[in-house]
Order: sequence, then C-alpha cells, then structure tokens
Amino acid sequence: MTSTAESQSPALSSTTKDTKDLPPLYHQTSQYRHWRFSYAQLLNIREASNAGAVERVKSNYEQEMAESQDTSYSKDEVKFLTVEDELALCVFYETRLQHMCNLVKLPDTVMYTAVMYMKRFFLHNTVMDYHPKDVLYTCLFLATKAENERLSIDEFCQKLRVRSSDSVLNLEFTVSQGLKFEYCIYHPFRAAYGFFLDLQTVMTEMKPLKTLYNKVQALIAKLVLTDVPFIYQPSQIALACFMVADGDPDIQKAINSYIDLRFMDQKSMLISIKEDIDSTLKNYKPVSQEDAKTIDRSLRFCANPANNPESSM
Amino acid sequence: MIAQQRNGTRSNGFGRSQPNVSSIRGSSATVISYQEEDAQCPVCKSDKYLTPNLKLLVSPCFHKMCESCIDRLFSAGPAPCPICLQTLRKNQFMSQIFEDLNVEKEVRIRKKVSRIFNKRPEDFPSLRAYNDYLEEVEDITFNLINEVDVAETEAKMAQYEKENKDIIAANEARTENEQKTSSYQEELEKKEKEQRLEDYRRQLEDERQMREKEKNELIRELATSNKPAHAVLATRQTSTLKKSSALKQQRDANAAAQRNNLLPAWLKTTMPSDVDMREAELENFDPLGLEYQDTIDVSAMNSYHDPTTEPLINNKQTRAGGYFPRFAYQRALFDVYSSISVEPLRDDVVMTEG
Repeated sequence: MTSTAESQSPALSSTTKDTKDLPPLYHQTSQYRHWRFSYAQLLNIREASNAGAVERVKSNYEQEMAESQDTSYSKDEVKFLTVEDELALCVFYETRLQHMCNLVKLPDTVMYTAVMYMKRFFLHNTVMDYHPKDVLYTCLFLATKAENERLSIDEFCQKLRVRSSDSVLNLEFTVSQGLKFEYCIYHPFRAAYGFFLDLQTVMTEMKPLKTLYNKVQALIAKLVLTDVPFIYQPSQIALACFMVADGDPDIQKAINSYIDLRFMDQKSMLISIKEDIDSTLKNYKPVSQEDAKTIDRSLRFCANPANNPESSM
Repeated sequence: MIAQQRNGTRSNGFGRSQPNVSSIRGSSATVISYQEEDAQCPVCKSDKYLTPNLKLLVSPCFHKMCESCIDRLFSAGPAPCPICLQTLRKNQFMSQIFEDLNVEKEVRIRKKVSRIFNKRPEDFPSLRAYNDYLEEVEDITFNLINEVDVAETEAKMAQYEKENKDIIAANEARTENEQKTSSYQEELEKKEKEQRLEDYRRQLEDERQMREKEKNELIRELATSNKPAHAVLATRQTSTLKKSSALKQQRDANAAAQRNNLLPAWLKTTMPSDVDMREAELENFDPLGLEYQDTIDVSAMNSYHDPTTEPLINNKQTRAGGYFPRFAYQRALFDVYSSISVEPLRDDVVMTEG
C-alpha cells in the first residue's frame, strides 16, 4: 500500500504542475476524435455507403420481384442516386429544417445541432435507406433534447404539424445509432460570441462590431449546410466568418491586427482556412425545389424496399 | 440467497448457515442451561423434590444423567452409557441448553459439522459453486441428525477433513481474528460512549462554574467601575459569547482527534485486504490530476459591451444566484482558444489511412 502511494505521488505532482504538456480539452471530445475529416475522406465514406446501399437495394429488388412475380420493371431500368444527388437532397431538407426552426422560433443552437445530426447520420447512411423527410423530424427532436430546449413529443408534433409521433420516435434509435450515440455538438456560435467579446480589445466602436457579429451568425447558419463543419473546428469557422463577413477596410484591418495579437503562430493556417471557407461560400448554390423534386422522383424507384412497409418483403 | 432460504426448510429453525455459527458460539456463554421443574434422573430415579440441587447433564449420545450418577459411573475412566451402551467419558457431558433434546442434538451436530466445513463464499469461484457446497453440507448434517448412513457420512466427513486441513485451519484462524476484531470494536464503542458521557458531564460542570464566575465578576465590575450599567452589561455579553463559542470549537476538535487515536494499529492491519485497497485508492485519488489541459492563456475581462449579459449586470435579482457574466465570458473565450490551433486533416494523410 505504501509503495503504491509513493510511486504515485511524483506522477500526480507532475500532472498538476505542468498541464501544458497534456493535450487540450478539445482533443477529448467526440467531435474531435470521430467527426473530423478531410474532403477526400468524406468523399470516400460517402461513395462507400452509396455503393453499399446500391448493392443492398439491388439484391432486395431481385428478391422482391421474385416474390411478387412482378416484371413491370427490370433492375437495369432503375437509375440509382449518385453521391451528388444524395448530398443535394440532404441539403434541400436541411434548408427546410432551418426554415422550420425559424418558424417555431427554436434557437440557432438547436437548428445547428439538428442539421449536424442529419449530416452525421447521412454520412454513413444513405437516403435510399432512410428518407430525409422522416429523419429530419427525429433529428430535430433529438436536438431539442440535446440542446436543453426540451419539448414533449406531443408539443413537438403539434408545433411542427407532424401527423403521428410514432414516425418521429420510431427512428430515434436508428438515428442515435447513426450518430454513434455522440450527441454533443460544439457550435461555432459560442466561439463567435467569444470572438465578439475578444475583438473588443482591438475594436472600440461597438456599432460596426455588432452588425459584424450579426452577419457572422447568419454566415455560420449558412455554412452548416456545407461540409465545412466536418473539416474545420468551431472556433476556426467562427474566425473565418469574422474575416469574410465584411469587406470594409477598417474592419479588415482591425481583425488582422487582432489575429496578429492573439494567433501569430497559426496565422498562415487560419488564412488558408478563411480562403477555403470564402470559396465554399461563393460556390454555394441553394438546391432548388425542382431539383429536389426530380431527385425525389428517382428516389421513389430506388428506395430500399426493405424499409418500405408497402412492399411485399 | 438460496443458501439461506433452504436452510430454514429442512432444519427445525435452528439451522444457521456458516457465517452465523460464530454468533451462536459467542452468545452461548450468556445462555443459562435449561433445567426442568420436576426433573428426574433416568438412571438413579432421584428427583428434584428429594435432591433440590439435582442437575442433569447431557451425554454425547443425548441421554440425560444427574451429576452424582456421572461421578459414580465415569470417575474411574471411560464406561458404557447405562442406556445405549456407547462408551462415554466424564468430560464429554455438557449442560443442557434447549428444552427439546432433538434441538440440542441438532445444534451440537451443526456446530461440529460447521467446524469442519468452514469454507466461505469467497473460497468459491461462483455463487453456484458455493450453493452446491452448502447443499452437500446440509445433506451431511441431515444424515447425521436423522441417523441415516451415519458411518458412511462420518467417513465422508473424515476424508474431507483430511483433504482440506489447510483451508479449515486458515478459515478457523480467520473467524477467530474477526471475532477478536468485532469484540474489540464493541468494547471500544462502549468505552467511547462512557467517555463521551463523562465529557458531557464535565462540560456541564465547567459551564456552570464559568457562568457563576462571570456573574461574580459582573457584579464586582458593576460595583467598582464608574461606567454606566448597560455599557458594562453589553461588553460582558459579547465577551461571554465569544468565549463559549471558542470553547465549543475546541471541544469538537478534541473529540475528533480522540476518536482517531482510539483505533489501534493491529485493528487496521487485520482488516480484509480489499478494504485496504479501497482506502488506498481514496487516498491516492487526485481530483486535479487531469488527463487534459483545461486552461487557456487568456482570461476574460470583467466587463464587455454585450447586450446579452446586460440584464445580468443591471438587475440585482438575477445575480442573486451567484452567476456572474464573467463566467459566460470565460466560457466563450475558452471555446475560442480551445480548438483554434487544430490542424485540418490533409488528404494525403487520409489516403494512407483509408
């Protein structure tokens, strides 16, 4: 007993003394460890899950046709969704989700979390297995709980005009599984708030800073529809938004001096992140309703019959 | 547990599973032996009416005899029982505790069996194994009590005893140790209680004396000093209050120190090892031994221009809970600095991984 105590005490004292050698707290989070990707990695995962889903749907179709003796369409005629189609459909429903949150006046954090849940879920799952129009409500319901804005399921359904609570609750476990049960999302919103406070050390005038902060919040809500949250970390996104939001030379100068003051070491990295996010924002095109409709129509033919209650399987 | 339930069904209610045997043994010292009102010795037929100090003892074969008969028959050495002819010795006779001789017999057999079969749950790999073992022990006990295959059962017991000599000895030592500890603890508690009572009495006495002394002093001061009476009274009162609270604190500290000193070293060392380990773990637990860095270089200022925390600053009531805007600022700044330096994953790294 005494020997263990002795052997432990120097180790303990060293940990309390120099915490600088330890990894930062953020490195312990599930977001850092499991939900951080590069663009190529994202594409790989999406292609793999898309290919897997196509395989599954094909084999299920053959089985179903064999069972139902229906020869009205052959498997060659079915046009499967591409990765881009899937992504576009997801983004369309994510936009819908944002509108919904605005309508029922849920806070931005809930909206961000819900959208991130959808993104995470459809990274390893495909729209051919689960239609985003169903998953959307479950994601939002989970997000209200995760972000401390709890609504009872009845209230939720009433507010959002969902016909039956079962459709929301039935998918709850499936969605949670898709999230690997990691519900904690770190938002750029609080980091943006931190920058808003910290920028006051270089920007003395409050009015332009406040308008800048409002623009940044709108930009963050827009960026969540892209892949940026998978690539960069919340505070990087927030800072990039501050850099991009306003082209006014005075503000640009102030932010530059702020970065020189605080993040001299990471400046080149932060600027490259800003450039990438800037180009992402410039290239971002909202998915039109017509596009979504055409994708949805082809999805009707290639949805996995295993998840369709009306199929003969 | 199954073990306890089943014991009750077959025995006459005196069956105890092994961990409780010690309590029987411990309490037997206080049980007065049972003597019938109109007892009669079955050997010499003398009864309580004629010999008022007649005392019946029980033989190992569970036959009663009076002390004078035992003296007469067994003083010269081992002799056969006058009833069942089993060879008996004088020192084997014991005083009767229970009225029913069957109960007496059962208790003695259980005692005997439990001395040999003294394994504990922790000697077994699983509860199932322990229950099987208890079942076996219960079978043996049952056989002995009801005299079914006595010779065979006794052979079985002897064999078991030979095979498990070490474990039996070890467990016996352990039980003894535990008894010693518990009795010592009991004694300790008793002593402590007495001590506390004593302390309390002394305290009351001290307080009474002090009050008296103060009163006398007060009267003297009132008589001699030329300050107004109410001023003297006020100063007196505060000083008394201070004194009494200081006294109380000292008393509490003393009591705590005493309690710690009372436990001797050997009591601590004889405790089961897992308790030791748990204690060591608690002692070595360091809440500050973090696995990550939870601080940032920048600390929040006390005030910013910020519309969201304005109600906190302006309204006294909202601050009553102890939440200050500074906490929100610090948290926001932490979010800024904690993830800013994370390098984005590069594609070439990814290709090798996936």
